[in-house]
Amino acid sequence: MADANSIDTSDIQVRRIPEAASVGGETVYSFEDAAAYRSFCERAFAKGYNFPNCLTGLDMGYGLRSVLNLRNLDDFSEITIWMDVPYDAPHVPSVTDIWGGVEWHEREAYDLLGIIYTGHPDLRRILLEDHWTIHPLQRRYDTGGYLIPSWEAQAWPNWEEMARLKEEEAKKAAEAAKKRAEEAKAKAAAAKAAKDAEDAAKEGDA
Amino acid sequence: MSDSTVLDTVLTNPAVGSSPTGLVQSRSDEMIVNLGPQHPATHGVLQIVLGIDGERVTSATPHIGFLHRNHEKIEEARTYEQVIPYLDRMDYVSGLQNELPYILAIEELSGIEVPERAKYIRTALFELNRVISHLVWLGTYLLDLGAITPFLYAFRDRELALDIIEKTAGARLLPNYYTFGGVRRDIHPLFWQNLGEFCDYFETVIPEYAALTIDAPIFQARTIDVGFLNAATAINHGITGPNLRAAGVAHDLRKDQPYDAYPELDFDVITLERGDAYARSKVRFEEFYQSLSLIRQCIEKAPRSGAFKGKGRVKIEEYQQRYKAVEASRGQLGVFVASDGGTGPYRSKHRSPSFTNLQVIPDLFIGQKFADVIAILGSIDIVLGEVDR
Amino acid sequence: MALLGNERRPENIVLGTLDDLINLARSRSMWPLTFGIACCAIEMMNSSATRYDADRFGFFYRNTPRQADVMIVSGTVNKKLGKRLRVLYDQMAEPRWVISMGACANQGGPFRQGYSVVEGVDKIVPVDVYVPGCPPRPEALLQALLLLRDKVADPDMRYIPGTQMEADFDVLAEPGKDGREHL
Repeated sequence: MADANSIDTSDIQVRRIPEAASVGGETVYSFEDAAAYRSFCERAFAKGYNFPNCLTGLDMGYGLRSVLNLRNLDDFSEITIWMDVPYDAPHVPSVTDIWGGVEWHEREAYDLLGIIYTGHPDLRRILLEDHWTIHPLQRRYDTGGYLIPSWEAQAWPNWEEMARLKEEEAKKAAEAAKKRAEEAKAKAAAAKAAKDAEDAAKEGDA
Repeated sequence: MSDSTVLDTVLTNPAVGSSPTGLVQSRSDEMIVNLGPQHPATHGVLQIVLGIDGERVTSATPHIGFLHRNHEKIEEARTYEQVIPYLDRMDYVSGLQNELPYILAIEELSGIEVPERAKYIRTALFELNRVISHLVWLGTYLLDLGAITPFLYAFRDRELALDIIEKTAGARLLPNYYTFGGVRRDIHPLFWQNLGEFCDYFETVIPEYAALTIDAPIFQARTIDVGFLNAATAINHGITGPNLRAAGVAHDLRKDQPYDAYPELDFDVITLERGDAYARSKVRFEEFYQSLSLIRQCIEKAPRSGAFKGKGRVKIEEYQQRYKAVEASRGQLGVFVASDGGTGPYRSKHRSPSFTNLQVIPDLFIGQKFADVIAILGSIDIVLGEVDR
Repeated sequence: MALLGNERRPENIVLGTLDDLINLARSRSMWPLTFGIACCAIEMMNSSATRYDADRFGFFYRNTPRQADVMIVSGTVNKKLGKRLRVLYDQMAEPRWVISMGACANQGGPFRQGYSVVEGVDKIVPVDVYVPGCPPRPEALLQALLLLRDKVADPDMRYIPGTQMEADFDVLAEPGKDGREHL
């Protein structure tokens, strides 16, 4: 029975992230040292985490992070392993020799994010053309002003809110109409009074 | 290497030897054959450069990326709701299935409850999509192997299933129907009845398909003992879906990490031992029956009234991440979502089964006959939209 | 025979050009190229399969560009595929026509803003018929094929060989780079 807690981490530097950071309940191990990451991966494989779910990367703003998600096919528990690297030296040890299934995932992370997997047997671009120089999923890469960032994008209509606003508007319009009608009435009354006074004056003259 | 050195190597090579007549039997020259990107049997725009020695394949180098559509970059600039239509377009053969892992992940992150009825609607449509996807596999695989009629039969029955989806979701191929907390609009009044009729009809035609394919001697001759994939390689390479189950590994996320209505349903994981192209085809055939049984159970157990969409709004406060996977028709379809508290995903990576399954093909091709390359490639069942994303 | 009837004489004699007669025959057996790219390719397959059956109009899919008259661009064309697409187009024998199927091929569609998507296949090959939709239904593709048939048979829109547009290879370049250096 493989238990994530039973992986011996006494002699390597590792930071365990509390489960709040990952709602699914899988344990997260975070590394900054290449040797420790590599050593931990070997231990996880020995403990039965033999199925590579997913390997990807993301741009954290202060550096790049390689995220490896593993599954144990005996009890279907999952662990996640993070490796943080700086922008100027984005070197992460490759784990292709442990799990063959991450080979193309590592190539993709290199292609789109620029993480260099040291020891990878065939680290070439996979989705983009070989002569390209950009790593488009890095946040500093600008698409030429085409893409609207999500914080400026307009959310899709909130129907309840829109219905409420519509009701409010209708109410306001009704009030305004009422007000206008009253004003018109007052105006008419004033005009009538003025006319009456005029008529009275004329009669007086006569 | 100079010419004389080459000749020496050939003469001294014990594998080549010399014939009784004294003439040197040299090997034939290695030939490079380019397959794709425009090839009717690559199921899209896949390029494979094959090295061929006589009839045997000596090397295979796949080149992908001809359909790279920047899903992940575009999704970073969309709100959570706006991402869903893009997901349909990844695996366009079974469009609805792609939406589910992302929606499940976001529902878990923001704590949205799904009503019971919506779960059953989702599950029934998920299984119907599996039937649709396997029908496309059946038609195109047999087309690759040289049989044209099964393609016409498969697409005839696929239309009937697409009609059910169109009637209730509004679009036939890429419906954009699942949403956070359930489905986008209520089902058609005759939805369950139509599904039942489809199941009754489709069950009667599966034996016809079997007679044309897995029971036919020509199909068996083309696929048996071709493209072996053993369990250890399959697990190590992250192979999933019918390809993994045909290698004898009983791994099915519907059973092992159940989602939606699957915990309530009764089914067994289908496994076969051989791991060749025939076994992979047979597993897909068994899954026809399994999907029909699951749809029938959904029809029986689904509540006939109730909400089709739960209350709740997508609200992810701080930095959080989630990897969530479902068992799609091609294997484990996962999504890795990271949020920074904004209105949209900070990063979303789609772990598509075809992408991971495709990387094992050099291992499957090498040593096989050149004519079997198409038979092996079709039995893996890839969709290029999902490979390149 | 309105198409041929430039001049009509009694005793069932019709005068016209040979080109028009050939084009009329050509329009009744258009052979599209089997070149499925993305989602629209599934609907393209549907249009030739059981319910929609494009065969009845003489549209029969050929697997090699040398035998095809029409290229149906059925999906998103990205910068890596663009060069191959033009090569395929150049391999087709003249006269040749192109149908741009779906929003992606028309102008980039939902992926228009991406870094590797060509915003409209008409920058690479000349397009005769545009089909809107994401994806278009098989009926829409059939209508496009019938429109193209009318165009081929129309004496006013006769195909003039050797007048095809050059591809704008700058659209295939890496963002911020000149397109011609790696061709």
